[in-house]
Amino acid sequence: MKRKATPLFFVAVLVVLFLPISAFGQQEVSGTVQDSTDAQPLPGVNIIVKGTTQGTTTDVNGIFSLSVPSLSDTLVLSFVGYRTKEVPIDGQTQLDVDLAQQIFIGGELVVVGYGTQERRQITGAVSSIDAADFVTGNVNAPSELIQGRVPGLQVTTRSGNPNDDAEIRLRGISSFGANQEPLVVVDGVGGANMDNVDPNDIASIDVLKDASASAIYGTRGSAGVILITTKSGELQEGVSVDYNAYYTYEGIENRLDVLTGDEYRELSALTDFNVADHGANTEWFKEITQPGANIVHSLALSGGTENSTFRVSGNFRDRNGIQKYTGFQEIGGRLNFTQWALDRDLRFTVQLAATNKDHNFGFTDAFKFAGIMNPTAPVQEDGFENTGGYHEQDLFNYFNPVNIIEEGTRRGETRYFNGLLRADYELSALIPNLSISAQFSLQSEDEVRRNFYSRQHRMLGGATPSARGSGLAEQFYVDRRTELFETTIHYLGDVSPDLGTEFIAGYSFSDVVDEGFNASGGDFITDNVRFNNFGFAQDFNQGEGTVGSFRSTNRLIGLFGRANLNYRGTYFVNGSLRREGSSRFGIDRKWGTFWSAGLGIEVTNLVDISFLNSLRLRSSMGKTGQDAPESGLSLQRFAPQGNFFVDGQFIQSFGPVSNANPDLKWEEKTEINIGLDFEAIQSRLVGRIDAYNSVTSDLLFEVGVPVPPNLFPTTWMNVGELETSGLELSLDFLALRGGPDGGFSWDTGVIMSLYSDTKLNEYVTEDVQYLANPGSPGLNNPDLIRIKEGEPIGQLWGPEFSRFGENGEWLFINADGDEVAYGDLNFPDDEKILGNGLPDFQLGWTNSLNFNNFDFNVFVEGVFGHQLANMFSLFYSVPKQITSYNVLQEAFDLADLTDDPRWSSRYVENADYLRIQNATLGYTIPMRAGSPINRMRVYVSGNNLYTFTGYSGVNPQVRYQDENLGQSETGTTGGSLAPGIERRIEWYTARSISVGINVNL
Amino acid sequence: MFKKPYTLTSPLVLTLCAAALVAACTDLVEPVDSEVTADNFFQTDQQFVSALGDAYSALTTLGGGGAPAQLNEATTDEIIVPARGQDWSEGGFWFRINNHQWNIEEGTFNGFWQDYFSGVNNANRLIFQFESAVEAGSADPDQAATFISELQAMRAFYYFWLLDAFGNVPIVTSFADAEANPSQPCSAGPQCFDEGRREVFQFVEQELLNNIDNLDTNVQATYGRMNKYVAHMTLAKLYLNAEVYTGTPRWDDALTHLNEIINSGQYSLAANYHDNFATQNEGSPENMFIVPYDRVFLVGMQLAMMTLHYGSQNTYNFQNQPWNGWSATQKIYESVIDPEQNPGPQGEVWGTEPTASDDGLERIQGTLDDRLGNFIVGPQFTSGGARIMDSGVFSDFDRNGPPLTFTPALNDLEAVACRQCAARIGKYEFEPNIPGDNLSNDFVIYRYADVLLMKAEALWRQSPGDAEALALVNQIRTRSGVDPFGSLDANRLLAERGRELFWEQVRRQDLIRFEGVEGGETRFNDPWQFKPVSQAYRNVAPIPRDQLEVNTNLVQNPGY
Repeated sequence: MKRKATPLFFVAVLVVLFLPISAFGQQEVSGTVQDSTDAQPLPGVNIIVKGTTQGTTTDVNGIFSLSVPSLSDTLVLSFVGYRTKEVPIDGQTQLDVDLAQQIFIGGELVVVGYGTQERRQITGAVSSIDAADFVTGNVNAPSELIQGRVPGLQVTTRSGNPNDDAEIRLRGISSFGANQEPLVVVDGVGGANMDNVDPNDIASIDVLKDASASAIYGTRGSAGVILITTKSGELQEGVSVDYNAYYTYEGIENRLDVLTGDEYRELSALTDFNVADHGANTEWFKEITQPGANIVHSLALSGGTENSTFRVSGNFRDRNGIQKYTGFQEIGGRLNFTQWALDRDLRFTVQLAATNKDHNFGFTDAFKFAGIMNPTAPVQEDGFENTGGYHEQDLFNYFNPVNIIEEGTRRGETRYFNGLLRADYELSALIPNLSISAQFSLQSEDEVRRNFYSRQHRMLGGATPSARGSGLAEQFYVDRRTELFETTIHYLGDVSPDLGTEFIAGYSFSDVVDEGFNASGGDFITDNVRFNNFGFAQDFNQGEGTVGSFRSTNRLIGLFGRANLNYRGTYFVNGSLRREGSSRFGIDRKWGTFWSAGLGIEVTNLVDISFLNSLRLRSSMGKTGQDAPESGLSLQRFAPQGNFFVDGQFIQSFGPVSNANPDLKWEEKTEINIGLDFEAIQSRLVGRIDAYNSVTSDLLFEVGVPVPPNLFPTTWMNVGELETSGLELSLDFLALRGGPDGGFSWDTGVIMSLYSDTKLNEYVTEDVQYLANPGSPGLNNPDLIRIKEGEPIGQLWGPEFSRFGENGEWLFINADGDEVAYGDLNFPDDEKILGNGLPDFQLGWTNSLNFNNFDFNVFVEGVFGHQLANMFSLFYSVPKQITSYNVLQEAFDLADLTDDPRWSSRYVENADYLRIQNATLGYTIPMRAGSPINRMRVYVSGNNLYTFTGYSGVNPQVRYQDENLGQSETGTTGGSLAPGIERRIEWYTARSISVGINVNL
Repeated sequence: MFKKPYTLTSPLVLTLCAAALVAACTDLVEPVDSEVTADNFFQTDQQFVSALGDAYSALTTLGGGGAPAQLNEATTDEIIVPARGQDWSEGGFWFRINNHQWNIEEGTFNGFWQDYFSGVNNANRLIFQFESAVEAGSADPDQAATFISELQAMRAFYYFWLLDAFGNVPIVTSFADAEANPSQPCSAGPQCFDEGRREVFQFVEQELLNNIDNLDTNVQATYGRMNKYVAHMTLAKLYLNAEVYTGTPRWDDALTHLNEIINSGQYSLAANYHDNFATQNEGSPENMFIVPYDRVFLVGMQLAMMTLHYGSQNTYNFQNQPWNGWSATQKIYESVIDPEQNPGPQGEVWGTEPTASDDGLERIQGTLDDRLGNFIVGPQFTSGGARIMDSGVFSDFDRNGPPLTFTPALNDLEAVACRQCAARIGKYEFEPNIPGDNLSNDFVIYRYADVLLMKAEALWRQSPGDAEALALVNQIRTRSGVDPFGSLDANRLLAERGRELFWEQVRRQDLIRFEGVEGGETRFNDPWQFKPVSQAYRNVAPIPRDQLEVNTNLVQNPGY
């Protein structure tokens, strides 16, 4: 009799684990297994008694023998590349079984949209990274696991900020108004948040790069798709336990090199610029930084019996950043549970994951002020009681960085929950090879932020040297819930021995709700309660406290299908189609159609190329889309617009916040990809090359509109066209193969990505637009970036520096090639293109060496061809600034310059860099036979070890977005149209060393 | 073996949804949760009154350093925004504005255009919404008619300023049927600019005349709103400048409307000039049209931040640090203390030149005019009485070094302007101890003193020896404690307007209107300190480049 399906509760999992595996009276069965077509014996076939864990494998001659509980049992035979077969014993003791080859299954399986595919059948550009190839060391987020490992994928961890998320771009920039980051799919759940997946729980990451691979995701696939597969349990005896832990020490890798107090005085004497000498020598950066540390523990238990598998894991991270009082504590857990029933035709999957993260955000502003604060000023001084004892000065936008971090606090909590229920059912008994599945998932993300600035906080609490401020407390809550329901029907079968087919069709429905609430107020009688009781903020008594809330919803509905054809394992054709609707578009423009088609040829099946084991050609084309970034963009909406004075009192007035645009529709990207895969030298050399061209049209963007007749000066529209292309190469070479007992092995891999310019073929206007200015003091003009139809985006723009004149002034080259002073420059006629913020070339080089029990990995990453506008240097390198601010060491080289800071080509620098991103040395401790410990490895690992660069700023990494990172930034930022600007407010970068241990029981 | 059918709903849902038979499966109607649309607003009387407020929101930029002040003050001889070292150099923007060398890209022109056209658009939208509500029977027709008159008069007010700034601008009066790319009245090119400007003039005139009798006369209830007298004043200003706009003077028409205001008896001069600009200036009998700023409920009055030195934070115990920007010219300061220009009782006043004295500024004999309070000059102290120290001082011109002293003389306009130079704008009272950038003083748009000075000018223009004109000017002078004039001339009238209406956004209009009057000077185009002679086409602003780009039917003004 069949065992009943196990109840689907976690508790039950444990029960299942400890079910005794009993052995009653045993019978012997033996036999042979052979290929059904050529009758060759098959060695290594897995044979299992159905409903038990008893099993064996065939020997080299395809022969097996096995004891079974009863001769009425059934044997399950499985072998890679062959169809699994169930054979009832029916009282026999000798069984000869034929296994049929399966055209589809076999070889490397790659996770693709709504399923898996064999590597050789893929016609688009897909990269797969297994856990074994992940980046190691101090890794705190899933995206860091594949940094530099995937051609065309740029993962930019911008700074030493422990609470910073990496920026991810696939194949450059394909959109500037809508989402630019790839869609993340975790275990089949699209639009998932990576932050709820611990790096330790990830089995593999697959990246769908071209339109053909990602078109099945339609709407959100145009910036690529990252598919994360988490680890799950396996059929085995007992429970497997994995424990990983490491400790990291973090130091400052790079910081602003400003003058010491003595140098400051020296420069003053040298230049005749007066400085206020307060007599001290303060190293401000030391006052706000600390050595960072990170402690990570991860424990996972996994196992499985014939009808169920499970894996539970818990992860803990306690991280302290390089700025004092910053960091986070994170605790997370994940359960993956699968239960089979009904003769393994029904599979039920439950996944639960929860993460709680407590943040201490700190103040990015403090790094800027540590750079420009007068180094002769003491940290604390008598007479500054109103600012908590901290020395302050009456200068524009100038704050003691220690006051900022000591008198203010920024806390936050983020809670993530993901739940997934999935049922897959094999309909084979009714219709062979057909299966259906349905899944429902809920993701929720709750974020709470709590900020408090005391009455002694100068920057935000209102304190001045002459009086205390009112203090300020802020809280906000944001809650985001996504419900996703998807159902698919799947057919996998061979039409004839020559033609294999796979079809999938499905329906997807997702609802997203975003809600938020915020309050802020000050004027505290006491600072003691901080943000914990707004009742103490008298602002609320006086109408000066603010309270706000919002809610927005949106819905996506998709109908999709895909077909894969495989002719004789040589020709592969596939196509997909998705019809998708988004609530965010205009009333008659909600639906879009996305498609792809691809062809692959296994050339080595047609031509005998002696030196190649395999050669595949691929070509594909497809169209993907991008959803609008916010809800309500196609509608005319009104919201409160200040107050209106009626009969002696204020009442709220209402005004427009958007214009209607019923024509707002999908942004669309069309991409062509041509690829080549090869294997040579007994498959020790594996290479892939992809070339692509993509054109994004109907770009979603907020653009200026004529104010009569429009009510609001900007409208979201579909404008313009963006084009980019590139070439990607990955090579993996097993240079040295170790012997069976260890020996020396060396595996090395290189990835290279070449990017063309990202060209703006069409734009809102044929005229030029200027964006993004440096800011105050005094540099709110001119702008740094020019946008022009027909040109690449991200053009840094300004006058060309010539030299310094005899009178200590700047000299520039004007449009006529003459040398002129600043006042004689005509803007913008005398300006020119000074650089571009997007890279041309990206390199990743991995090396994995093994010798006996030692393993050594080193990973080098480089990005080349991009420029950065160095804002800190622009503002704070000329000697004149020492009358107010500390300046960079560079000022000594400019001692004859008496002029003010001027934007020019002098501040556009090549930011090429080559970085030793990670090096790890590990030793696997030999275990005595029979030891309860299967494997134990200890390692030491360094991250961000050294950067080779000529760039003089803090961090040469690409800035895809121009954004404000601090409260005191004054420039007007240009967003995604203005890459290539390093702002004045940046975290210093960090370097870390970790020691860790991996244990498997 | 037979398999039981399982009650999985998915195949069913899949089938149905694939066929799109179930509406919920493909329902993409977009809800708006935390804002409103026109469909779900305009239900109650309070919502109508509330909606009306948006017709005034465009005025809230007047109290800051944005486009209106940049165009109407920073281009004139009373205000200067020097680049003090690097601060405020902004790639030469203020230099170009001060020196009339602006180009069509300057954001300030687009800002001005957007501010005032948003006023026009909101009025159009509200008129449409009120009319629709009357049609639908959800609004009281009489109440709606009053609101519509108020809105049409406000729309004319915005057009008056657009006329003054740009001349030939598109006239848009409909919300529902507005053209996508409206044309100016003159769209043939620069040669018909005058014709286009005349048409805008006639539109403003006609709209105000059509609605003036429906407007409220209760000046208390309509404080901060368009009422009958605000409409009269707008007409009077339109006629006073009619020669500039149309080539034909309309002095008598100006007088008609000024007399309507005077004869109504609703307004009188306040005893003290500065009461009109106090933090609590709601009680002023003189202020006719204001922006009812409040540092909490209606923000935007930022004069303290715009003009004061960074260190002045300690004088007023502000929680925010001022920006050390907007200042008065030496010329306007001298026009008050100079006995020749402004005869009156003499006494010790702050001179204009910095010295090495303890005060940092010379004390000289000069005219004691109440309106000297418009300027903040001399050594500066903390609220506790100590000298404020400016540790960033660097110019030899700041002779006293760090002790903060506002010196009316300015050494340079750009690059090496000293940090402490130029008198600061003290016109409005600065409330101490405030958080934030915003003050609560109501910003004066129209004031009764201007009515009297305008009347004096209209009379004098027609008859230079007019006794009433002289009496009116002297009425203003006497209130500030200076000697009456024995006679009037153009320079005296213009200078008196400068002293009285300093920082009231009329100087550019005045300079242009007085062009060539008595003495052949062009006034607005004349050189003054730092500023060279400028060309006459700069008397109107260029059509902003951003607007020309998005609306290809627009034509640029002559000269640009």
